[in-house]
Amino acid sequence: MWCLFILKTKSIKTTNVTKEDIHAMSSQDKFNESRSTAMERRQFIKATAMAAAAAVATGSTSSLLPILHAEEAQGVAGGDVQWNKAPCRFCGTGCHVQVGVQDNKVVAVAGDRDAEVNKGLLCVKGYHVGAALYGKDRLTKPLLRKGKTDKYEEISWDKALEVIADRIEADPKRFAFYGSGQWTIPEGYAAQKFMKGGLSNNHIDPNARLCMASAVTGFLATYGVDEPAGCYDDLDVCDVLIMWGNNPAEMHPVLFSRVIDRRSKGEKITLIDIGTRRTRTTEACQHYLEMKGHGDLAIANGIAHLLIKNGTLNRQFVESFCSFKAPDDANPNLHGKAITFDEYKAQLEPYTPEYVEELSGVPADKIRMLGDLFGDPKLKITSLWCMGMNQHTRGTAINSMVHGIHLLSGHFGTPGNAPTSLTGQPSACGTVREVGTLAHALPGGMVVTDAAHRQKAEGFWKVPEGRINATPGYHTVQMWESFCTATDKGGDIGTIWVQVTNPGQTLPNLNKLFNPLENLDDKFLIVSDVYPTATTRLADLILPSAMWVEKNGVVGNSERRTQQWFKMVDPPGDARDDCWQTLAVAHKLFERGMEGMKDRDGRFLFEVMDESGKPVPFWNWENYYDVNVDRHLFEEYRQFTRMKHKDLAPYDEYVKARGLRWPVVEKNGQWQETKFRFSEGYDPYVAADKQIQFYHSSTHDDRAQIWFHPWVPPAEVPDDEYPFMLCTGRVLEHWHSGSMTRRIPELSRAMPSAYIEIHPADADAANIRNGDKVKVESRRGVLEIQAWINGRGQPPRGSVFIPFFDESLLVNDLTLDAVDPFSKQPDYKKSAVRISKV
Amino acid sequence: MIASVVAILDPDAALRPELAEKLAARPELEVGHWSPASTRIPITIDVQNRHQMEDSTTWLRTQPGILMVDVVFVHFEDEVN
Repeated sequence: MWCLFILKTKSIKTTNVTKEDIHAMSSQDKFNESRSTAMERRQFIKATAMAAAAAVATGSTSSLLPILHAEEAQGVAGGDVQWNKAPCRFCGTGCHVQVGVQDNKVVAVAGDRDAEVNKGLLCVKGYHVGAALYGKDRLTKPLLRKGKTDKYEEISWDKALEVIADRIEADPKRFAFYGSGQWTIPEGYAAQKFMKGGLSNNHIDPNARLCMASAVTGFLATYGVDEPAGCYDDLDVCDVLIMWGNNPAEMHPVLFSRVIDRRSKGEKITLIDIGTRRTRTTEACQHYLEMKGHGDLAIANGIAHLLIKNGTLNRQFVESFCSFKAPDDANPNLHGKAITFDEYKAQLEPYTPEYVEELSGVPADKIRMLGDLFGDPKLKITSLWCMGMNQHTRGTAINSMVHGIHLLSGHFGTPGNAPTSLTGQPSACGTVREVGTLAHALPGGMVVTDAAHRQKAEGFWKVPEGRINATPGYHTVQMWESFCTATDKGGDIGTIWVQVTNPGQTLPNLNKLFNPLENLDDKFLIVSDVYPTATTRLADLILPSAMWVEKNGVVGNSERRTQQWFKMVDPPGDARDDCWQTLAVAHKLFERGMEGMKDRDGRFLFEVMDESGKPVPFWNWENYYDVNVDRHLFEEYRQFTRMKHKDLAPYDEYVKARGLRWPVVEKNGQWQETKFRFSEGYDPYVAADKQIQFYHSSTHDDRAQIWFHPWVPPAEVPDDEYPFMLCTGRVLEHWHSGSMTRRIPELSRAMPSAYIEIHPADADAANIRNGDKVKVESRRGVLEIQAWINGRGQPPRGSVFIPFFDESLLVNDLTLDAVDPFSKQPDYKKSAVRISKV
Repeated sequence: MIASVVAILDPDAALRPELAEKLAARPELEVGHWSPASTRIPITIDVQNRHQMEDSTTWLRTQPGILMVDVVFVHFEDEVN
């Protein structure tokens, strides 16, 4: 964890650093340039490094996780620095940082001690987040491709808006919007309303389809409503933490540190890693249960089998609050068919520990251990998962099954007892899942296929009845498949506008879903981004975007926490907010008289009035910040949030807070957040004396559903031709496709390029040594990449791992595009490959 | 390449004397101010390249008495690149 990262180098006194020294360093007189020049550079850097570590180490002796506070950091960075709060730009943890700004530039970043999520800590990416703004190749001008050449010309924003409006106006139905869980809530809401409430077009989907769609369907199938019941507080009190295909030590390090810190204080907590390769998380766990791909399905069934066989299920909880479900094979649908407890028990009968061992590779005694843990009512058990369970062709099933074993054993609804999915993006929850920027969804948990929901949304949007299309649009894989198919062969998407994501790197099976675009002359790709990426490589129009604290924002993290920040610095050149881009195109179409851009009174769909009641021309960039557009969009969106009891507070409440967990309800004049949903005493919507109430139950009886799903093999399994299972994922130093973190020198140098992890015995058999170049082939593509044996992660025999952050080594040329039948999320964790030394 | 880390210690103090000896024997490591009551030790690592850095941090993580190693600071000397 970083203590403080100063972007503008200053000298710091450092020898025998103590906590007192850290505080003493805060004074301006310790920043004297002559001292810097007198010190050996290496010695100086080493002393600075020790100061940072000492600040973390000594701080923790007096309280849990104190770190330099912004006021202290202010002294370190210099007296003229202005500090303000913002959530970190990167993952879904939702750490708050204090951002130091001087002369219209971010010059320092510190952990925010007032933030409950991170209590002052940040991970190595968080402390470098400010540097993500200052890569040398920021996009600063709109660029239009010259014909079908590789050349671009700089154009004005007005010309860019005209080009987009021309493409949409020519055929609105062939237009699609592809966004992400990095869209802020106002950005996603504007895009959602523009598409569904304006163009009557549901072809809007996010990259979050690729990372957490199965978590959504798992929650819906179980509770009838999306998103976790628990929160990060569970990590502070659980006795057992089970990580299902999850590597929080690298992917959510601040959360993992919270757990490790408990152990360092002598608290007893059992950590269990169920995974397909050893990771940094494994090193900290007492138990590592190495499974084969899809072994999790068998393990969950094995636990349920033992709870019933041993009589350790929580009968009172189950009889009071749960029903049973199984897939309806004759009519496959998310809510399946009801079954009795006896039928559920019979379906589980074959899943003995020995049979589960055969299916999963996890020894039977470890399955019994899990059964015993879940069978102990005195223990508090929290499950965590992320991509391992979501990027899975049975993602909906395994998500539902893990919820199921918590329900069956009664490990639910009290602090420390929770099945909790983590997200990888800062607003996968806030924007994608709550605003509903998915092809089938409307804001507030509503869907386009429901007439009452459409009517409700049309009412909130003040658009004519019937404006919203009742047919779901294309989900991500369908959208890109259609876009990459020639028009005369049925490819009916002609234009895609991409904002805040990098599908040219992150889609699976790129040779099918992205690369064919190069040869399709009538297709048109618009990309709004901050840097050139694998996606801008094939873009016809590139729009320079503002990022993070160059704009206002509101996001929602993994624990239902909604977080707000204000713009602090100007974006470079002509870069502009993504939200403005969407609204400016909408107004351009309104100017051209497009009916869809008018409300039922003929006014502009996004009209905002000033205090005197006059429309604010925010579609002109120079007027965009005359009014807080985020606040207006947020307050309109807030009406939707009450539909599924995900109530948000007024915008101004978030200005004051380091985020609030919904539902946020007003009580005695105070806006109060909710830590634990569905639990009496915590959730304001649970009726008195109910104890637990699943008030959005799909069976309308306040019950959650415990699912049986059978074990099935992965969509692709190794064979003689392709004998290795390829898993992909992330590394600590880089976030997602690396378009930001690879521009941060410290992170880029720490992890400069992707690699393939191979088991030493497999490497020996193929005559591959550390550093050798390896040819990796799947049925879909080929990649040549350096080997790392016994490196950070250690896959078992027959399995290899490649991270996806490296734009120059696209592992998604190899991956499979098979999807979960309900969530439509692809499985990036199980593709068959072969390897050979180059 | 210079980095600093905080090693989070096992609460079992009996493991610490041997650990302290092992840390002192590694020339690339420098241990900062460490109170016996503390469960966190600040350590700098001074090595030539990232592979050595990985080796050192892996060694730290695998020592009895160390629960986890948090990276606090990473710097890359220009002359090494």
